[in-house]
Amino acid sequence: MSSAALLAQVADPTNLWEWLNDSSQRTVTGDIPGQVWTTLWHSVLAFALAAGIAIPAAAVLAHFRKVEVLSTWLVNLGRIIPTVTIVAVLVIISLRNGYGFEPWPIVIALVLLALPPLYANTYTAVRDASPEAVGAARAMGLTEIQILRQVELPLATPLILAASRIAITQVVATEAIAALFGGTGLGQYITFGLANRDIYEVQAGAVLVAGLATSVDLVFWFVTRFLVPAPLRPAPSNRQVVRPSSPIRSRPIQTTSLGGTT
Amino acid sequence: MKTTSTSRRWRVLSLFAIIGVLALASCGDNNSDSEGSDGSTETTSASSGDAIRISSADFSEQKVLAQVYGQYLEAQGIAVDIQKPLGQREQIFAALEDDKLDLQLDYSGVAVGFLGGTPSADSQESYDALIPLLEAKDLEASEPSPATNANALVALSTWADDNGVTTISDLSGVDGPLILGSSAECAERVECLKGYLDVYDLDFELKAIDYGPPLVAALEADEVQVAQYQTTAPEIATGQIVVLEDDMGLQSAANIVPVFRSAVSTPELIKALDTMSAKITTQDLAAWNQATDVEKEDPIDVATAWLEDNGLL
Repeated sequence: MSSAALLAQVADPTNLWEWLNDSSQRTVTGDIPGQVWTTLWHSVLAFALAAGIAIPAAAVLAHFRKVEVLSTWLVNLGRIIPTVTIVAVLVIISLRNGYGFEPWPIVIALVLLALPPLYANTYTAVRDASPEAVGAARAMGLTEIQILRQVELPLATPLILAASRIAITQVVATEAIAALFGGTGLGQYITFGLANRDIYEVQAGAVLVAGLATSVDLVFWFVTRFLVPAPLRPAPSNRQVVRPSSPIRSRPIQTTSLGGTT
Repeated sequence: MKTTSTSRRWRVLSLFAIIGVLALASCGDNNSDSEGSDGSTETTSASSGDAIRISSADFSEQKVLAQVYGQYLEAQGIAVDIQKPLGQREQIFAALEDDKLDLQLDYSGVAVGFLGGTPSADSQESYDALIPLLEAKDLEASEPSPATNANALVALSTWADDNGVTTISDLSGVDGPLILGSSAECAERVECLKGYLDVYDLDFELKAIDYGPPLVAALEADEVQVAQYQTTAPEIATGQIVVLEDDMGLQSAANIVPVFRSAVSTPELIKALDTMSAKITTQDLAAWNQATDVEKEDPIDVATAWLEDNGLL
């Protein structure tokens, strides 16, 4: 080993950048790409499960106007109980039943975290979908399920996707607590950095978690652009759909741009 | 319209009222708490011409120790005042230096490290290192107890039996890598992960877990094979886990040692402390922790019962 390499191993980093460039700092906590991947798949799995539970349930219950208060209260429990507490309890249960430290304790806790925004927004969006459109659909003879799927859900899509962005960003940012209870992921750098008073390790963990959460948010924003039906998208400022002099602020529905390049 | 806005205003007002009442209630609690402790300190310093003021760190083993020594001294005719626990070693030494406290029960090696010395795995060497460090602060220590509460590497008793492991060195014969469960502080400590890797040359991976139930649950689930724990853990008393012998002397000795201000030192006090220290064993500490932490008994009762069982009261 060259003396330069030896020196690089011995000298402690003096700033965040040196810490990130010195892989010998991560012999215990694991390399960064691996931890990014762990955090990402925990988060995506938790979000997918939460969305799979909350969106259909909220849509159906909102369409039939059932148990709004009770279900919202029930779902909100996930946010009322601190996520850290949920993970701490679930880790012990998981260990005693042979499921190990990961991934179920953290994934279940994150599902409970993601449920409230997804559920509440889907419920509100479906419930408040244009009564005129719903009435028209019913008058045309659509079944209740068709109304839900073809009228209410498309109208609710922008709000549901906005809620999804909030939910998955929260989930990614919160996944770090897994490292407090024998889990891996980006939280490792924060937990170990704090315990061993390595400020650059803590900074790196914080920057990486924030960076990943922001990246996921951006990806979701991009997805949103494609999933929202064109007529429901907010008008880009450079496209003059509405003439500034026009007193009416609503845009005509442009069927031509539905499959367009926007 | 008018009625709705009025009722909403009422609702908001009542919400604030509730928050206000809760805030006041918690303030009241704090006030009464601090007044209570202030009051008790005042009465002691006023009434105690020469009562020995004893305190401890704020965890159950320390509370029992303060009670055991305190109740015994009292039975020997030495006036004592057992005070509330004082948080951490930092606060305790500050109180000793400020003449707010006379006696505390410390752990030799840890105290040496805290006072800036180099602790040793040998209990006599640690004690010898402690004395000059205390003298500089007008403090003394009586003879250390054989009872220790050191950090220790532990494994499930069944796992240790199956793999024929009794010492830490024996672990090199077990197929690795072994997962070590410990708090994250372990990563940088010579008496923990660094020592196991460099001194014992073992193939360890660290899993960060807090002490207590998760650590034992992790051992039971075989998610970790060994764990950094304390020699007085209640699970050791029950035989669930065993301490692996530190055959290369990584851990510093941490014998119970009474530390007191030189100003209160008398031959009677030292004699009583030495008698007491000689009686306590590591098994006693573990049994006390079992009683207080698992069976949720009161430290005062645990101390009294132990003193009576040993014919010291």
